[in-house]
Amino acid sequence: MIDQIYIEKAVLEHPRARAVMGRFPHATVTVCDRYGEIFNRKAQNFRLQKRKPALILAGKFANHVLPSPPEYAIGGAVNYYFSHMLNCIYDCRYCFLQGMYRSAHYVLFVNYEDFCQAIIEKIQAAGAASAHFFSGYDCDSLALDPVTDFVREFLPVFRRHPQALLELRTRSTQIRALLAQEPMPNCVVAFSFTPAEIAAAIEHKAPPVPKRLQALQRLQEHGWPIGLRFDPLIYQDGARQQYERLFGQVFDVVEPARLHSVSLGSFRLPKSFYRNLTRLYPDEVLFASPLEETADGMVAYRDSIRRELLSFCRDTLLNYVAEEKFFPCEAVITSNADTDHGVGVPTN
Amino acid sequence: MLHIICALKPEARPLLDHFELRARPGAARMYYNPATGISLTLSGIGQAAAAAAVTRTYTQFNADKTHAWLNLGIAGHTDLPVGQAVMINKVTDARSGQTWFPSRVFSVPLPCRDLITLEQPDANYRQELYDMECAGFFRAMSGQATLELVQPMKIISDNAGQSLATVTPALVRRLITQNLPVIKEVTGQLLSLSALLQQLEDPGPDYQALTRRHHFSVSQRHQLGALLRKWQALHPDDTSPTTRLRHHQTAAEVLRHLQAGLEQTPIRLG
Repeated sequence: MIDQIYIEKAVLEHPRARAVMGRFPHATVTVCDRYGEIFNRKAQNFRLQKRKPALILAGKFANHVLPSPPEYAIGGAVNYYFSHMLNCIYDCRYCFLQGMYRSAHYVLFVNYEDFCQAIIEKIQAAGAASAHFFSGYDCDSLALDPVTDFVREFLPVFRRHPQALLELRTRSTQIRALLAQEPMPNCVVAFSFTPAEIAAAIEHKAPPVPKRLQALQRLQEHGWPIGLRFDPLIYQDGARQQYERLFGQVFDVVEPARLHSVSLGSFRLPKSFYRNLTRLYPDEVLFASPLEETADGMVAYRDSIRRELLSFCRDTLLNYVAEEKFFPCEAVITSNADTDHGVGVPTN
Repeated sequence: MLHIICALKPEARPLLDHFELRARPGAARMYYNPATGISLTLSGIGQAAAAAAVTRTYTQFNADKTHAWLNLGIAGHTDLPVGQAVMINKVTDARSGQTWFPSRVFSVPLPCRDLITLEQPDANYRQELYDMECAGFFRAMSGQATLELVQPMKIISDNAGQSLATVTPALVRRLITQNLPVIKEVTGQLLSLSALLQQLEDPGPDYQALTRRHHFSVSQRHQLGALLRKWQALHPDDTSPTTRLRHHQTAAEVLRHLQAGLEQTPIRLG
């Protein structure tokens, strides 16, 4: 799977770096000073690199935990995100990472201890206010878990701080580590879905919808709180019927008692990311969709399509979900482009 | 297109024969086969010569970011066997300490090692390969080409057991010749990546036909390219929308027609 590993000199002896390298004994290891030497270079081609991404093992020395865009909140008073990894093993065509990063290589920050310390500090600073932490903006939270041990290392922090909540956002079926431990009421496993027809067309390398539903079912049977993320909503001919069918499939499986939250949001990207994506994939039908620039520098579906699909999905979802568990991206639901911001659609 | 940069004739000779490269008129020490899109430039020894060869080739072929580049030549190593072909992960200029990390997106059944570019031949063999050109090649390539399309490939010519003194032109020719199968594989991969990027950049024959027929401003040309790409994405079997656009009198009419056609096309992903 990984033929090439780059490793920063500073983390050569880090136990996690050594453990990860041990999982790829045949990979070539190349030492660098800072991961940016490889990851941030000019003239890289994301599409070509996606054919054979390398793994970069690095240390993150600042900004471990950052405030998250308010429209992605699911009830927390203060909201943060953190990324132990950059980039994703899946290849979803709508993903903003393709437009944001120059490289498709996976960066794994191995100094989890610094992330955990930063999380604890934020929890303590929040005091009595509920602090929510989101993982899965810059990577899939679980997809590489057997390699990264992310679940095993980060969940104990939240077990010790039950007043805080962690969201693991994923499309993955890598749930063994979660099944191996007692569920936590303050850790939500949030699965992202698009209808099977759309997933098959543009969520390359991601597990198909039925496999994700199986993983979801096993986790909820084990007692884990479940989140549902219909974000981004993707438009195509017959999208309404496809989403209606998807919601039916999902709520056949989901137990209302285990459902923590449902959110949805439309496909949108910053204009510069969109421009990069269309350069990389000029042959992609998704980018020939009726998209337009909004006043705030984003690219989204034409307003009529966006409103129509969002309203339909919201109304259909509210047949299944109590309103207090429904967290739409407010700006999108009101179709007020002026309030819609953020870096793009979370990866997973 | 693929441009191969070699330091010396013995390295190049087997490639000139195999790829049927002929001297390019008016371009000294430059060879080309238009049928395959492969060129070879002889640089001479040293970083500065390699960098100059890149620049010369770039200009001669009006290269862009879709062109692929291969620095092929001999190198020393402490214990890899003479004749072993090697791909390179990291190139360091011994003089300045500057480093480059080639980005390879295809698999080849070859060992991968780091390489140091020295000013002078050196008999102190080490774990890194060493040569005298590669850093100059990368320095000249920086920012000029797509990173994944720039590769160094080295053939071991000497090691701790078989010193540089044993390296003769005949030996070099033989080492390159015996590695032709793997060289062919690497050049084939690079040509295929180059072709993919060319295809993605190419707005297609309709673009050429329409811009010949009507006057498009610079901004309208961008619009036309974008609309035609969308058209191709939505109508992959429609080989020539130009025919249907024939009766339009102006560039603006063509753009309006294409836009309207796209609006009416149902979106079907996959």
